[in-house]
Amino acid sequence: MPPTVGVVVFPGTNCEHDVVHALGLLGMRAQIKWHGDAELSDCDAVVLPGGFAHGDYLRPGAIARFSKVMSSIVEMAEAGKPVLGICNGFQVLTEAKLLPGALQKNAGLRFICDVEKLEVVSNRSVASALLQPGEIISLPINHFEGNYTCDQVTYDSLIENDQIVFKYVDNPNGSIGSIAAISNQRGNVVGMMPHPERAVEEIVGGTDGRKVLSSFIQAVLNG
Amino acid sequence: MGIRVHGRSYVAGYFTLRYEAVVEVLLKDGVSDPEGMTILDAVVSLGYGSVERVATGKLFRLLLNADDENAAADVVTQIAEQLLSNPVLEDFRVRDLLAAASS
Repeated sequence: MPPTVGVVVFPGTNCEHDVVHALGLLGMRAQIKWHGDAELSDCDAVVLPGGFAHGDYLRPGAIARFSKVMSSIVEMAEAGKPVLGICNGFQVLTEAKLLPGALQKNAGLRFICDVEKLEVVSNRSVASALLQPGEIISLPINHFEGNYTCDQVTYDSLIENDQIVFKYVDNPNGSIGSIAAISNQRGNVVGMMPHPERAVEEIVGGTDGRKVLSSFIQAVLNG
Repeated sequence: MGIRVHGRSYVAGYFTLRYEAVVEVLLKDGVSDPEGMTILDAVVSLGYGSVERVATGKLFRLLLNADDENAAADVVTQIAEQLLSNPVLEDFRVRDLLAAASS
């Protein structure tokens, strides 16, 4: 079977078709997976797309973390397979403790829907390998709780271990260190608030998302 | 520990005690609380300039069966740690609910 990316859907997820479309455009097979199915054994990688899993009840990602599918995602992460959480997917990954820190309400209490310039900090991750540190890309953001926070010890370790993937050029939401995306230490698990799947065609306002998703696809193909 | 007894109930073949606990979850000091700050602005606009800070949080009321108070407190604390609060952002406290409720 050709390499396949599982795109996980929780009740309230709403970006899964965009992700499947964007990956397909770049030649990668992607399959939607319901959160109640515990099995991801036919997938080589997984994307947790954006939306409002379980209505964001309690905290974004707090309930999704206990879904059946999460144990498979944890196994894949531990096995070094590529795992990408976008927006709400990032929130799920922090709640599941696959990534450190947490996402709190935007400073200023506004839902932000805009295109943001991002600086590539590390290209050691599965979402940035085809980019150069210092390179500036533009991606849309669309969130209310995207203000990344962590304690100082965690922040220092993110810098020391080169785990900051992207940071905002003009911090829109109050994130510590202007962080827009981080990875785990190994670089195979990435969480990002911006939406690369919404920037893969000129007609929707840009193609910088292709570089992010192509990096991810390269990681999938390299196993 | 803030848990109160609400009579006895018959569960799984023997009597257990029924407890009610209230879990309070508040943002940690230093975590930005834009909602609290906005409410503070409104409080000051109302004329209560003596108020320095408003913190927002959540409150959960749990009714459960347990053998004794310690067992009930353990269960409630585990739930608060694992689900009701996120330790990066929030602190929790298990506290009493004063109103008596029976069912």
